[in-house]
Amino acid sequence: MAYGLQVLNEDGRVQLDSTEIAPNTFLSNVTTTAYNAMTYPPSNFATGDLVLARPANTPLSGATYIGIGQPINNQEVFYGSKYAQDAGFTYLYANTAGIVTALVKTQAGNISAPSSGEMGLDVYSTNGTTILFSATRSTSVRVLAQGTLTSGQTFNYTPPSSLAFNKIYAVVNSTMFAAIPAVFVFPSWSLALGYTFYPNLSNPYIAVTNKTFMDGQEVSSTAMLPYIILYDTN
Amino acid sequence: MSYGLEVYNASGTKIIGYTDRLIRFVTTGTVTANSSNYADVTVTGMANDDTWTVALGDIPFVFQYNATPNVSFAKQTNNLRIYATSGNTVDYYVFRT
Repeated sequence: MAYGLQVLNEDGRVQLDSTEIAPNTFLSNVTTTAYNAMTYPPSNFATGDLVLARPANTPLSGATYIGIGQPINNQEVFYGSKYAQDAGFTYLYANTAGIVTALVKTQAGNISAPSSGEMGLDVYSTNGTTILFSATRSTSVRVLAQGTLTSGQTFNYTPPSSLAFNKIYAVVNSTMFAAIPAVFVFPSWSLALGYTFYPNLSNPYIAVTNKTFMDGQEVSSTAMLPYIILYDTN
Repeated sequence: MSYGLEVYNASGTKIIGYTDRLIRFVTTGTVTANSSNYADVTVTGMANDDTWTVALGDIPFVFQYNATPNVSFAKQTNNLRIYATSGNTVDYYVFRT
């Protein structure tokens, strides 16, 4: 580029670029969401936001499933919501410990202009008004893992012990957990396109799965599951 | 450090380091699959490499005898192709990392 500011990381990936129309993002609306309040999407969601979730700080023992559940009476919910239980779907997973949710938003249009005399670094796009990056208000997130799973695939992510496990979030926008009982001659279905957190192990990890089952037997599908695991550095 | 950017917050916590992979917003929207079971979205500069990240949302879910999920996508040159059953709508999110 002829002018402006571009920063690459150690791997050569762009961290910020004043001439590219790809503003940085920031973490917002980190909220502890109780079992009885796990509707989807979380409050303050706006079109284009990535929705993040992780187990509650005091999670259930064993596995915690993190993702979107099947719609219940046209209401979207996180998997494990009390809403599903109250609606009679008692065979579904119940996450009585709740979850923590957050949103990742673009900084463009969501970051206010710096106040007079404020220190730090702000990077504007070529239009001179849109903030692409603000060091003082960025509340950035770091990508720990990302990829795409095709049907039948599983990916396990074990974070280094230097990271706090309760600051690791999964992007859930693309997920779907569902269970449909058999009815008459129709088979049962179970969908597990999402994340399973194991926070209580000595080496906690996250499993990402793209699996579909019919009558308990795994079957293939054409669905892809793009996954992203993020770290709250703030 | 020998190069790169480090950013610390007011508490002295490093919030961006020179090894960090960040996530930057490109575009978002909603499409409806055509009669050929796909929808195209023009994304200038898109390429089939891992600096381009796609997330999907509002995955169509139908209670029926065959509940197999079927939404997928392909990153193409300057184009994102989303595959879904004709008439179904899907949200998409495009980022660079």
